[in-house]
Amino acid sequence: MSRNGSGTYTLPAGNPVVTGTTITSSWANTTMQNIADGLTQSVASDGQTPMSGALNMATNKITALGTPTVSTDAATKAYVDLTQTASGITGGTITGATLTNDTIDSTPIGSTTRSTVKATTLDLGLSTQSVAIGQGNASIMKNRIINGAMVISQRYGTTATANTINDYTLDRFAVYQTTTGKLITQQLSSSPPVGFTNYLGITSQSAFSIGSGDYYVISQIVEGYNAADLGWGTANAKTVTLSFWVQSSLTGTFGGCIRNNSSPYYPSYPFTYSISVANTWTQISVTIAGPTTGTWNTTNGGAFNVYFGLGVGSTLSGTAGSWQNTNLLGATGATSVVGTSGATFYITGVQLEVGSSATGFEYRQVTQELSLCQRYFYKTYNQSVVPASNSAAGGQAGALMLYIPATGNTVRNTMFFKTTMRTTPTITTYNPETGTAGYAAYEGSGASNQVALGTTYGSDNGSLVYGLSAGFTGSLYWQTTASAEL
Amino acid sequence: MINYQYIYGLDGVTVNQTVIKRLPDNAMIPVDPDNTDYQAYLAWVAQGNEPLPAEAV
Repeated sequence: MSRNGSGTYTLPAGNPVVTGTTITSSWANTTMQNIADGLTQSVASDGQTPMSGALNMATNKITALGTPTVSTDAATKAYVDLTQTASGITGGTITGATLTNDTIDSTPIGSTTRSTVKATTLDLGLSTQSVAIGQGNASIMKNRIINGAMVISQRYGTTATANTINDYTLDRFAVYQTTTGKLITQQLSSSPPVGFTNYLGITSQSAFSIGSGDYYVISQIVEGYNAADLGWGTANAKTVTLSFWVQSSLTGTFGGCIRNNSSPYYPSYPFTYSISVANTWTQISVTIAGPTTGTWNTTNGGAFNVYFGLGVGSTLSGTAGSWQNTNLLGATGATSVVGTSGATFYITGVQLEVGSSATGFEYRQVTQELSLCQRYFYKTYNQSVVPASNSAAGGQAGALMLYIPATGNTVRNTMFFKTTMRTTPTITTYNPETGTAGYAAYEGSGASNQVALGTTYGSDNGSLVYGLSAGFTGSLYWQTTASAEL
Repeated sequence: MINYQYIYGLDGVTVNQTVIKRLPDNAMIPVDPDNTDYQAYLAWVAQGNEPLPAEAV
């Protein structure tokens, strides 16, 4: 070979000759052939020599390049810039592991020919956020919490309520407690955090000393259908971030927990957060790596509980910051709100989303939020009327009616829910005049002013009142609630 | 104290197999394993309790 592999040409052995050397044909022919080989391997300036290997520019430029004319021509910078501008891509960048098609078509929308851009990441430079296709936060169903802004309160309205042991307060939020009378809940609207109009307020009614097995918590159970994509219990479990606004008359470390809703009710992930200034709204963000173990409901059952602790005993508390195979409701060392008489705990803006950081709260139109809530609880009452109210005006509005034309007639009334419920609901009927459960108001002859309603059958789409009391004629009217809560 | 009661079907003789009445709010609980009120009823029965017999309307 004439060159050494790095491009250096070296004359063959016997060169250079020294003075007095006899020039022979063997020396001359060998040397001249070697020089001829070297010239053959060099690039002719008129372009007649094709390259037989990759052209290594060693970071040097090719200058004075002509404008490309066929698809295999090299392109100048000016040509590439012009093509990008013609495609309408200016001021942005496109990055991607796979970007098919070597051009991006500038044909207007509506034309029959379009190019397809496929990229793992498509950054249009429109904002500081990038959209990862098929990953991260989608703009729809970002927030897995329903009624996180605390605007819907179908059961109690704005009434301060001493809840029963396992009771719902604002829609989708339950109160679980070992003893009643330790706290009251209420939908409040005075001085909410910026961006919100309502919050759930809890006020402690006594200075209660928590026992090891006691629990006082606010909880929302996320339905399996709304959590199936999280992939929890698999190697692809997604990280989520829980964020919320909170205010308390107390300061210190507070706690909560995310826990599997299916038996054996774990894994559990206790978490803590700090409220350093009393009576001041603070936004909290907790990021939780998705659990790779456990069996999590992915249909119409409960996938997991999100607990906010108001006082949880040691048996049901765990060390914050990891998934544990124990049924837990709170974090070890957390402040007990029910431990201080008159203590307050306010919360709103609750959001649970995919990803490792909290993003802006997902506001929903009120009809959309109400519809989401009605999958779990529905009432025929005005939204402003608390079920079992005995307000004649509010109680009669929207009431269901039946007219019994003759004694002994078999009567039926069908009602369709406004949204398909999670499962067949529990149905309660109320006399609109008195609020008495299980009865209808009566106008007619042959009976008192209220009569017991017969069997009520339900489905996830509606209910049927069947077989009313006989022995009278006239009109019956009543209100209904349907509960398919988790 | 939560209690429950069987109710009759339309014939007034056969106990209804699809609904249980919860006392004292007279709520009609469907025999549906996904309904949490029915789950609570089953847990109540599992503790050895028995619903009240049906009574004629």
